[in-house]
Amino acid sequence: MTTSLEHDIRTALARQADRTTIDAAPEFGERPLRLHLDSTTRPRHRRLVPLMAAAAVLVAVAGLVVVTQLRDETPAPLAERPAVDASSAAVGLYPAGEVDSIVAAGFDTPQAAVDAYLADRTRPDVVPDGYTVTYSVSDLEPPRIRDDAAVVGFSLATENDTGDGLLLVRQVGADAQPERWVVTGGGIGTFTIDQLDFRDGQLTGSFTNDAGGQTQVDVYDAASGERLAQSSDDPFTIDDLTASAVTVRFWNTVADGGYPIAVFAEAIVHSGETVTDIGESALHDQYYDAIQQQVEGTHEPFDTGPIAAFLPEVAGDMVTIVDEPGFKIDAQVQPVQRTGQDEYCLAITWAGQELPFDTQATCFSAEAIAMQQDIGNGAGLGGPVAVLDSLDGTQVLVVGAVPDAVTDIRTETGKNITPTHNIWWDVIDSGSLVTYKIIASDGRTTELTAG
Amino acid sequence: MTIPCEDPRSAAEDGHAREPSSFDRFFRDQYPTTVRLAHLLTGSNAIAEELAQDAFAQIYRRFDTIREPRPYLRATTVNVCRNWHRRRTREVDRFRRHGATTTDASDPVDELIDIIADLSYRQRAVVVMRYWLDLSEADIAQALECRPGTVKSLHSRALAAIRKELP
Repeated sequence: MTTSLEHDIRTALARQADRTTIDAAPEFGERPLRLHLDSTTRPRHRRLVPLMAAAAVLVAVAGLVVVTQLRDETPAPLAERPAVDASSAAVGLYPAGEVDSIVAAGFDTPQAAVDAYLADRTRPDVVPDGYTVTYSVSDLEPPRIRDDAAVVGFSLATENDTGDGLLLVRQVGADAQPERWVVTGGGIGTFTIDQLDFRDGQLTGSFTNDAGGQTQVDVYDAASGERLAQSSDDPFTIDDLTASAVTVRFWNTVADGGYPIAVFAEAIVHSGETVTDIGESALHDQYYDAIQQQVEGTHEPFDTGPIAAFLPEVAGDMVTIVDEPGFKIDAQVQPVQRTGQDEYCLAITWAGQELPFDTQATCFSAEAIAMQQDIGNGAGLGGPVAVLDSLDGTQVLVVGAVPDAVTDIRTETGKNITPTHNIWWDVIDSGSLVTYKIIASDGRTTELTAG
Repeated sequence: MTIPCEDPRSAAEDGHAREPSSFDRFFRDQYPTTVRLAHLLTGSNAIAEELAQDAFAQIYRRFDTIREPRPYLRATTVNVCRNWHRRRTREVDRFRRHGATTTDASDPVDELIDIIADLSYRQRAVVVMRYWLDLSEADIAQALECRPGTVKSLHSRALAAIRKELP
């Protein structure tokens, strides 16, 4: 489905691209390109100087990060984490500890858990030296991917850039009231933990980092929060870990300050476990599906209830349901076997002339509306709308059948349309798109774009 | 595919007209699109021409070994633009001060361009490749050297960010 926004983006980009002034394409080998070739093929030693300088800066910055981490020998305390029993099983990244302690002192919403988690992970004393990292938590209702698991969006920002990511949160203590949530993994979109394997005290791992730069790996005891080891290798191997579960935290910094300047990911792995494809990418498909379901959920008020107002009693009867100057709509019930339901076919008179009666364009079924399926030639419009060419060829009519609950439809230009006998219509310029806000009697809304 | 690859300097220096090479034709065919792509990715017409030529210079050196030069050129262009973004580091608005195309803030279309320009580089790249080049997620992923899932994420988040900024 192409939305109005997507249409606008296409238009804007096309216009901006058309603004590009291009000198008649230079022949390959003429001056501008030749200068580039000269500069990129200059003697190697002349290129080594800036390369060496860049390498020195990179080493210096990486060194600063390492030195800072080594200097901080005291395990970073996890802010306000519940008291934990180090011998019990850790269930997630934050709050640390086992189920009982999280239930006793945990967070009652996914967002609250994520908010506290990010506040802890972005403390100045735990982010890479020289960086200030702020965060924000998505205000979108966290979509649940299972009954006891949800995904929360977040952003990290540094002085000159931002990155978006996803975190998986899980409900613990099934009967706990209020609910208790714990963060279990995730990260920024440009960083994926490909694999973590933890057995016999040895942790091995690898990751994919789209951003380049330097990645610092810190390993913590998942139950106590004590930092156990660190590495900057990829892949990495760390031996002699005594914890029953470890959390593995990644901070990636780009030494030249480019995008993204700080990338973060974290996951938990228990002894004897191998976990793969962890991070925002792994969560995204589930998140996307959950969001879609959530969005579809906003259609609920319009999914239920019969279309009663213009339902003629006898199949085949033609009933006039709208009779206004220049606009007349007759409805006719036509049993259509393919849906197993009656369809309401509309005969439309526009400017005194009857439009061609086209069942593909003007027939609606209650089932189709309830299912939010494409209707007639409104396919792809995402709602119970048909678009008909008017007779003069310069305009189209937008005609929709809506369930009983819909009381008002507003356009993005502020025009209000009140459905008449469950029918609404609009006249728009041919080829244009209009977004309509459909409002139910209980105040709930949804939108569709037509044109 | 074996493509003869002559030294561009020799063609200019010997002063004789030559039949255009495969690379010459490729260059002429793709140069306008490449400059426009770089313009949309950087916001600057002048810098776009420079970066487009940078991309061609990189392609030139290995043109005879590249099986599908167009996707390669696209990925190279996205990459040189990303490097340019990295170089400008803390001067977020520098490209606007140095030759950025003038936009009219009161024009809704220009306003949208400004919002797209404020996206992170990867989000902007996804938007440009999706809506201007009409590329699939797989092709965008190839150009960005990331997974299709990441493209999907960048895309949805870019749209969300744009929606948030729109009045």
